[in-house]
Amino acid sequence: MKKILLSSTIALSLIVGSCSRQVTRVAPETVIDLSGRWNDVDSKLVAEELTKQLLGERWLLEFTKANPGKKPVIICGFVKNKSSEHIEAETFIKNIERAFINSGLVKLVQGGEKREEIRGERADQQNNSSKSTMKKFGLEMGADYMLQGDINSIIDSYKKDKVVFYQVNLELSHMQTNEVVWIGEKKIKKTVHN
Amino acid sequence: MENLNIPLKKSLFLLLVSITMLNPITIIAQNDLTPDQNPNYKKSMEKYMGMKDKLTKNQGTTVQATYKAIDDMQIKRERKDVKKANRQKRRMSRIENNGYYYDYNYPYQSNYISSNNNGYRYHYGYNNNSYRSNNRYRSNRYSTCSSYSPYYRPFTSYSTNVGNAALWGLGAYLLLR
Repeated sequence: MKKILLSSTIALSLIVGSCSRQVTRVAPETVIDLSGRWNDVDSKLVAEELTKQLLGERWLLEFTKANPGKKPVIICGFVKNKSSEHIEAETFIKNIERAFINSGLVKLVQGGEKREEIRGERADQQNNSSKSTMKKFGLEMGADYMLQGDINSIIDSYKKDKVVFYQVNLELSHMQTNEVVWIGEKKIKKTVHN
Repeated sequence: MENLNIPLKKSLFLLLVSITMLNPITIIAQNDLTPDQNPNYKKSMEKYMGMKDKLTKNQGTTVQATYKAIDDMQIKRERKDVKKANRQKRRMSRIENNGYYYDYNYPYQSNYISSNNNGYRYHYGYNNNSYRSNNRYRSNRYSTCSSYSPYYRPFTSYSTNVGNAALWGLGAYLLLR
């Protein structure tokens, strides 16, 4: 009888233990690497490094020298993901945009689908809003520079070991002359042992 | 006109003047650009007036642009579900095919059935048997169940199933004794 009870208890505890799911909340800054693929830690490292480079390099000084009292206006273009994984560049691009606005050194204008939505609302206001509150077309702030980027990866694997290398490049190009005034780079390398 | 009062004449004159004066002013106001306004603003305005409803319809909503993340547990679960579904399809196909026993030693027989043959099979290929033994009688209809079909599984005899159950029972007994 005792043996039956003991074996059934062990079996039950194994079953219950294998079925339960535990969720623990952690701070967003906590470094957790599970699969070796691109994760939030990588995005954070890229955002920090590229923000520091972008706001601390020569191109900003040269602009302010050439245009005293003016701030450069930047619009974000697309980031091309040429790596082997799905990477959401917006996670670090948004951090960079936030740094632009918080620093007060650079102006940012909206682009892409969000800009289309703004224009649609402006068009709607032409017929529906009061004259004093209606916004006009043809008065948008034109960007001086466009921020574009690429994400590349190189993977080397042998049996159970893998080395993953990511390179994120962002470029700032002048809207009128096409001149590339700044190129930022962040490299990340990881080894994964399965 | 001469018979009209002078004040009336004056007021009519003023009215005429105001009408002629104001019209150019209103025309100028419509065409007047605010300082720094792009003179081509009308092109943009016309373009967006045509699609404003489409552009504003998602306001106040969440645009779902999700992607399927790599989740190993989820992949395992999906594979399991697919296997289960396929197992079910195989069982159903076996039932529909009347549990026809396919001799595993002769996989190259074809399964052509003529509509006029009263349920007997014609065989073409390596083993040209016109009669097949069937250890489970169901009906006169012999149906196709090619060994290359994904749903095909060779029929296992009852004796094997009983043997498996006996082994499990013996194991349970020894454990709990």
